[in-house]
Amino acid sequence: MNPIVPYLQVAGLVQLAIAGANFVLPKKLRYRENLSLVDPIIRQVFVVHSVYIVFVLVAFSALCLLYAPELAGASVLGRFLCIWMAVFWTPRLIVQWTYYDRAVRRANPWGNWGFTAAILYLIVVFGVAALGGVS
Amino acid sequence: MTPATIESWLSLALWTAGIGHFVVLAASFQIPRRLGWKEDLAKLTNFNRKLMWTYGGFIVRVIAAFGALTLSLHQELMNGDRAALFVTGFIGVFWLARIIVDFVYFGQGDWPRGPGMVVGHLLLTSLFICLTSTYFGVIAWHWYVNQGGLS
Repeated sequence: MNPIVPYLQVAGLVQLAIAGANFVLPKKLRYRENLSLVDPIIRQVFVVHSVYIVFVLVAFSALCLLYAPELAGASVLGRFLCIWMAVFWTPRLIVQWTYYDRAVRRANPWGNWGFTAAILYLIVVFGVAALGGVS
Repeated sequence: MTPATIESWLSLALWTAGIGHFVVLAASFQIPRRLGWKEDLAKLTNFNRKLMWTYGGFIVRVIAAFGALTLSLHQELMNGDRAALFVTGFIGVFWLARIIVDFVYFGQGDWPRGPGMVVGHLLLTSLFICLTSTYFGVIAWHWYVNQGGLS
């Protein structure tokens, strides 16, 4: 078995945890009050995008938990999926540090560093798996 | 219709679906301007506005990846091993959910008016139906083959 397999399975759990965090965010960021200010169609698009993000994260988790050997197997599909997930998470890290408000990051240091560590882990694991794993 | 004919039609449908994702993206890039996101999102707090753009960017990257994956791994999806079938099902469910959202969540009265928007909405929904049918068609094809449908 490729030694990267258990790390990919942990990556599945990490992504599941990030998906779970999306259920806490609406209350913490006062989505309801905020979104009542915009047109209904914008509100609906925002909600649909949020649900889709959770759906994609759950699918990524399932891929890692159920098909880790395939992802680590250096097949064309496995390598594509690992590159995709690494590329998916890299801009998220950049957004966290260069786009999101510094005040929000400072007000939520645990969330900020927790997300940063989780995303760094995912980028490294998927990057290594995309290169063919560790031997 | 022979199995070989069905397979060649599915293969063609899959190539078209790959291109279809980039058509969806081209349409998506017009959404912010057509729905007046700039003016509307100015009413949100700074952080929620940024979150909205970030989510939109994520969705764009997912759709682009679906298109790239379908075009570059066409043969893998047609071969249908376990992980490929999972990915095919994932893309199928993604677009099926989009159709359901359109019919049961987006209020028709909330869409901007005008013949251009009506035609655009109709074309996009038709494209979503084609995408859903193609990916579920590939899964159904593999199910049929695995059931011994070709023997």
